[in-house]
Amino acid sequence: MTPHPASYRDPAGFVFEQDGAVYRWIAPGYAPHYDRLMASGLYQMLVDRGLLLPHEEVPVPAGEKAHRILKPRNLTLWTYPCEWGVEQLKAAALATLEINLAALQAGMLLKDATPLNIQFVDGRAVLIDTLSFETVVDGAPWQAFRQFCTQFLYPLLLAHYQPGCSLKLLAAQPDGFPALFTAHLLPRRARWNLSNRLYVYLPAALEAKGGTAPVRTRAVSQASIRNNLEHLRRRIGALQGPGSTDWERYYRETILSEAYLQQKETLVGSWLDAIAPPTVLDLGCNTGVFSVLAARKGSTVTAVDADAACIDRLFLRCQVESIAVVMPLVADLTHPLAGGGWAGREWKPLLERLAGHHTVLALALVHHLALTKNVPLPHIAALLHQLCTQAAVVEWVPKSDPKAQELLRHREDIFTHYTEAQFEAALAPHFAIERKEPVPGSDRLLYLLRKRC
Amino acid sequence: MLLYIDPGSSGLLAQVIIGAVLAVGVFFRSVRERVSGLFRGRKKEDPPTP
Repeated sequence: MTPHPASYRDPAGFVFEQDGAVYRWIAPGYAPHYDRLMASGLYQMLVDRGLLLPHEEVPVPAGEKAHRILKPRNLTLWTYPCEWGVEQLKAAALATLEINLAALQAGMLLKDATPLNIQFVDGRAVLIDTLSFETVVDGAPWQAFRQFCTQFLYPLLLAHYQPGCSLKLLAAQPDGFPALFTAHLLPRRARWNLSNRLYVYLPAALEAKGGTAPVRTRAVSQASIRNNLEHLRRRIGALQGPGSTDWERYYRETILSEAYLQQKETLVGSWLDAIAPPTVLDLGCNTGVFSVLAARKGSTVTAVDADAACIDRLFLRCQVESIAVVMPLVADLTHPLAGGGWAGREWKPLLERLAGHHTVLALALVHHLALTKNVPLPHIAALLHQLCTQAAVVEWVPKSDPKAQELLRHREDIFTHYTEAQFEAALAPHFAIERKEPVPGSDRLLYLLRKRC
Repeated sequence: MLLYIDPGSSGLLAQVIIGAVLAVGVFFRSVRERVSGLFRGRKKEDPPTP
């Protein structure tokens, strides 16, 4: 039972893997808290509301000192907050507050409040760390308040007031944004808000003073903690991400024409029917038109785009239309998350997590990688090969295409190798071309590719 | 030097102050609700029309 590389902080227990399954080992010292979580009905209530990852207790082997060993429900794709859109972080924050309010009713509180404890399961933000609950000590403050602010509230406030602010910053600062940092980055108008005064500028002023200010120990009542949580819930509920505005115009600008899109949907749809992939990875998904198409045909979909506003839009759409099988995430394929944490082993690299999808979709993507980022065609073919197990559906956008021309307008055309023949030559070592069809209403081509093993 | 500052201390102080300010807000809201409840309460007592 070797602990998972990311599972070393909490003395209450650790996570380990055995025979491909994940288990949670609970230390005897955590027993009172765990037993209260289970006996008070809090666990069942949170599981029923879809806020906590369900688990089953498995027998503790003889000689093992654990209080219990749990087998939590299996997670298919692990994601990190720096790969989420703003709406996803907001959903995670609201779930954390709901859980904490429910816990308070049962005489417990979350001892930590980090988005790293939240994963998306069936499209919903779910707490995965069963050992986060602790029995309330009368008069003690909520220990995780500051952590909640730096890792949830401040990133959300920055995204609300400064729409260009990306959650990718959380990759560089996984402990979140300090109050002082946030106060400096917020615009002047944020000062007029009383909530910001209390939650950002006040802690920032205390931070600026440093540790020299004498701290008197004062009791914080449970009513006060509840007020705080309810205020945070109202405040965060009212914050907006970049996906909430003006996306119609955005989408119209990114596609060629309605007729072209319809033709492409028909063609890709018929190919998806033919290959019936259980899992699909939609690279460069934009607002997820084809991710939703694949989901409706029965696939579980991971939808990736570098544009956080698109991912926000897709996440909100999936919430509204109750599409539980699409997991949208923000990532730049030319700079994927390379792992991190202690010894670089706590966070798994993105490409490792994405590999293993049955089929990969790369629609209107190759020209962006090749003509904007100068990625050679053989590199792109190799990446597609690495990420799928069976098939790929890829769109070829020739230089003559208006969108390709837009990319080339303000730069010298150094892309002599960007031709259909060279593209097919780049695919050849990795894939067999099964179908090749022009998309009516454009010069573009669609390829259905079978992976060579 | 910064490394030795207790990271929890300012969080606690902020929480105490926030608690006090929010309590004032909650007090006024409950007063407002009670006052408006006085008027609404009378209406509620009207017998329901069949």
